[in-house]
Amino acid sequence: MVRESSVIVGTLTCLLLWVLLVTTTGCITSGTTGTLEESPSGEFSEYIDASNIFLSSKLSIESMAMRDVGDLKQVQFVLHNRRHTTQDFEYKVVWYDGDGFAIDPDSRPWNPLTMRGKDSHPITATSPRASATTFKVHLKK
Amino acid sequence: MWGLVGCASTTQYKDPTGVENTSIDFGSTDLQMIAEKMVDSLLSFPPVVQVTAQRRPVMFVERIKNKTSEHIDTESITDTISTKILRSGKFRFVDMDRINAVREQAQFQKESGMVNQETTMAMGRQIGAEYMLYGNLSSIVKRTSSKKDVYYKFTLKLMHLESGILEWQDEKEIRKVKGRSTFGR
Repeated sequence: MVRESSVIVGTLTCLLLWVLLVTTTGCITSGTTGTLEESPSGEFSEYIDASNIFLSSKLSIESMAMRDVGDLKQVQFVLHNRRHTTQDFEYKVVWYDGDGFAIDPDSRPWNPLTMRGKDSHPITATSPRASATTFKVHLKK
Repeated sequence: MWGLVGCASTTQYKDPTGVENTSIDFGSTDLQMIAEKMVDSLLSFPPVVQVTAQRRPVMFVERIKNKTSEHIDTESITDTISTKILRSGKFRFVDMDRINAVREQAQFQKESGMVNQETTMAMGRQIGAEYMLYGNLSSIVKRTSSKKDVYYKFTLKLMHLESGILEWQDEKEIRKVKGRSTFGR
């Protein structure tokens, strides 16, 4: 009788652990509409802020051009949705100086953007000051 | 106890540059997106780049005309734009809104008898503006029983005051739709 009870308790514990595992995995994937894939390995992946790994794996920079306008920098890049599903997200271009300091990061707003599956969207930005040398596009849901 | 917990409200600090979509009305995100687009466009326009390459011309901002049916603080839009332009180091500004305060201070310095006359500000030494920044904000609103569609158009212009020539002009369009959500969007 005691042995039967311990078997039942053991089985229930295993079942509970399995349910917990499935539920937890479900929570991670449901918020990101897809499975976690490889990080973008394209030529321009260094220009994407990778803090949001789920979003940065879905989006990539297809092409990029940077030029000088006087002593300011101007960049144009094409953001590409690598998935077949629509992505709703926000982006913000942040400029950095030669020492890696962000230049007025609060002066540029988050821009809402909806990209349909496999869609591409050009984005142009001009640096706020002459000290800018590079930029990053920050992404968030 | 539950009643007390249920009524308790909390205050949270949020990113002021974050997307705000509380309502379809003109909001902070619209203001910031307009200012970003306009300043980027102005500072990268080739003739403006040429003019500001060696010197910092003086401009003044005329209030933006609100041609929408909403109450919108357009001075806030011009404040954000002029702040960004000023911080770029490309232009300098004269503040026409404070001319009366400056005049009163000059009069006080000259006539009150309280100020050492060797330290009073010299008259007729202010620098005249070379450019004027002005524009307007308009909107088109369409409604059905289940949907509201708002289109905003912000136009900004830079005029060379002496010649009257329009040196630069650009627009920013924003369209917002509010309605019942549909499946499979």
